[in-house]
Amino acid sequence: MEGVFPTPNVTPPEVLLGTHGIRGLGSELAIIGVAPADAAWPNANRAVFSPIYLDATALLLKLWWENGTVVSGNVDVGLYRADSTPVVRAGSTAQAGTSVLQEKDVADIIVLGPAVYYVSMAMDNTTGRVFRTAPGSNNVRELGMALQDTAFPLPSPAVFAAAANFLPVCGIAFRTLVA
Amino acid sequence: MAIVFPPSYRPPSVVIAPWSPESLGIGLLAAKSGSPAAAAWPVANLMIFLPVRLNSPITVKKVWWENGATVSGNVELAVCDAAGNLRLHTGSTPQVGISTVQVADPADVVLEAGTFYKGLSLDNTTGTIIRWPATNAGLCAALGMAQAASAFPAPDPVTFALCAQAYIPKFGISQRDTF
Repeated sequence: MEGVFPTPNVTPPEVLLGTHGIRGLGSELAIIGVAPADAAWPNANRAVFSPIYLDATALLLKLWWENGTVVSGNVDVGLYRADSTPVVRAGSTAQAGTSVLQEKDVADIIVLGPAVYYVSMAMDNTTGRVFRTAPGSNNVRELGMALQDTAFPLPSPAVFAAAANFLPVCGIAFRTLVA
Repeated sequence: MAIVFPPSYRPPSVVIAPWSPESLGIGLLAAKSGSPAAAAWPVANLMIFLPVRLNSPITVKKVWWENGATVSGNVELAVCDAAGNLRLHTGSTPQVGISTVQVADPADVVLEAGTFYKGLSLDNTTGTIIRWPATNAGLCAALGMAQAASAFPAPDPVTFALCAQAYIPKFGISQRDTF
């Protein structure tokens, strides 16, 4: 087998690719100028979707999110294609560990790029807290975010509705070292 | 068997706003002199253009702008190619809804990879748009912004003039129907 490696002069994908990274909404959030903070999940069973701009094919190993100062109930995280069908979903996972990244190991899967995906996170209660940014109710729409209510566990396919002002810190990992 | 990976690039943003990498991107951070706020349109029938650089084709499904606290008269949003040829425009659209994202739905248009300009025009100076104030007009021009007088509705083709406004309006295009 003959291989042609690598694609010349390109930056490899981030090792952890998330909502607040440069292949997420990092540069846009820097312009908006709002920092993440601890907050309760806004609506039980609400799923939040945030675009991820994957610039090359990579092997997805884990999913992750950042817990806040109170943990409660269950979390689901996933990765969706632009057509709102899921690539991978963690399934209901007990929220555990305050103010730390929490990871969920999933079956390794090749994610094709370049392509637009959506990282999604949902919680089944409004007691558990996560780190999130509140960029503004108009800004979240202009950032390409979306939401779906009554969406725990994460659905297949998703049905995108206009986003609300809540962007959790969560994402996907291309390395095993996450939490 | 040769394995040839596709070239690596960041796919175009789902919603292209002034802060998107396809438009002003992080340059906006350097040019703006304050936070976005409502301001009256600077000159009736003036169209203000921001560049849009696409590395791959997109389908524009919706267009939008963010109204300020006063709405008045009519708005025109247009997208033209680098030579000024119109590719889509809303036509004269009543400005409706204060302090919200107003969405318009012209016929879907495919834009190929290349350089385009998105332009916004109001037919009066009473209606307000959310805009970033810029340090000066020269910085806006340095980011690739342009303008056209007497461009309500947008002529075809547009004749670009050097940007003379320190006014960066918040408007854009969307690849998604719901956002």
